[in-house]
Amino acid sequence: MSEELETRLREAMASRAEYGMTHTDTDRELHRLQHNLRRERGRRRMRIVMAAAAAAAVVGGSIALAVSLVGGGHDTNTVVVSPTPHASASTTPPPVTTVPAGFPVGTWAKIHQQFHETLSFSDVPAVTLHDDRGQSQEHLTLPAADLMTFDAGDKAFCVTSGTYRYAITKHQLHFTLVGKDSCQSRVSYLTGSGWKFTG
Amino acid sequence: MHEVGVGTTPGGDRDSALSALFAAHHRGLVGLAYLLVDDLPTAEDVVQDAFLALHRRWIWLRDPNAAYEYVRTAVLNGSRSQLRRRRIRTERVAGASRPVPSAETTAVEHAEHQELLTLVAQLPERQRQVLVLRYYLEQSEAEIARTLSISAGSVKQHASRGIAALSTRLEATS
Repeated sequence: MSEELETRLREAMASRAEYGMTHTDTDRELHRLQHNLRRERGRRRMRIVMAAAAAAAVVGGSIALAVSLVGGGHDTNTVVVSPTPHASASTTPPPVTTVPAGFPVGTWAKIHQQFHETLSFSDVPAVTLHDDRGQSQEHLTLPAADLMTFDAGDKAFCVTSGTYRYAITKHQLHFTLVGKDSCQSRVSYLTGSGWKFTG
Repeated sequence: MHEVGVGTTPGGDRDSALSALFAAHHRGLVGLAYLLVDDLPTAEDVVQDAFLALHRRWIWLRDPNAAYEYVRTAVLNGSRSQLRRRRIRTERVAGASRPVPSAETTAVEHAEHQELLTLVAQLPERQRQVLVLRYYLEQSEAEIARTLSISAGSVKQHASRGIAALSTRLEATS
């Protein structure tokens, strides 16, 4: 009975799938996919423009603060702009954020990398990965002040999430894997060499 | 069917690689999704969503051969989500019923195929997925376990329970 049932199952499934395959229109669906991709790119561009506008507002605020300090007769030498990403945060009102102090908000570029790769952290918290092939936005969870977990979201190349310890030493961001990460692509992407702050 | 390189090279054109992958696998994936969700427009949407997800996560893709495997897993997960949403809708809306294949489909389908697939559709989601992977994609237990991220023991259990349930129901209807 079981063998006969298995044969019938194979035939029935092949027949049903065949119907779906012959009644879909690949050209029409490819056109729909390309339309959806264009729409998605438009949304991403809008997010970038809004983020740039927000960054410009922060820089503008910093300049205004510096001018007011200089104009107030203080010693100009006391106005120091640090190259670290934390400096701008210390001269502007604290944003409403869920990330801990020391979280590497900003853009970091891979050092000693043949290809241009960057990580841009926002205080959502989220990270946008960018390289010559395109970009991808990933959600993060922060289990501790010095840890970040990259969430794979749906079951993808990175079937499981991966947790990394981060530290900034000499203006470089370094990741160290905590426990195991089954996604080898992510391990090699994040670890190895440090990331340099670019803005 | 399973190994189509996407020609990914650093600096390569992601959109054209994605289009090539789509052209090569779209029909097969729609067939797979159709087996799992029972109606063609939903199956096409599931495949669209899977390719959009692949596009968003392209940067993690260091192994070009992983692209098809990724998108197929996304179709399986997307189909499962559709079934769950549908079940919730059915529970909320009194009298709502699950979609059934169109009259055209049923007209061309052998009556006994139709009866068997109706019974398959009534199985729990996981059993149904395992049976589709086993008898449509002809995957081994180990491959199914990897595809669904479950243990080989669970695969065996879902398959045997699914087959047993089908046998019982077929006997009851005959």
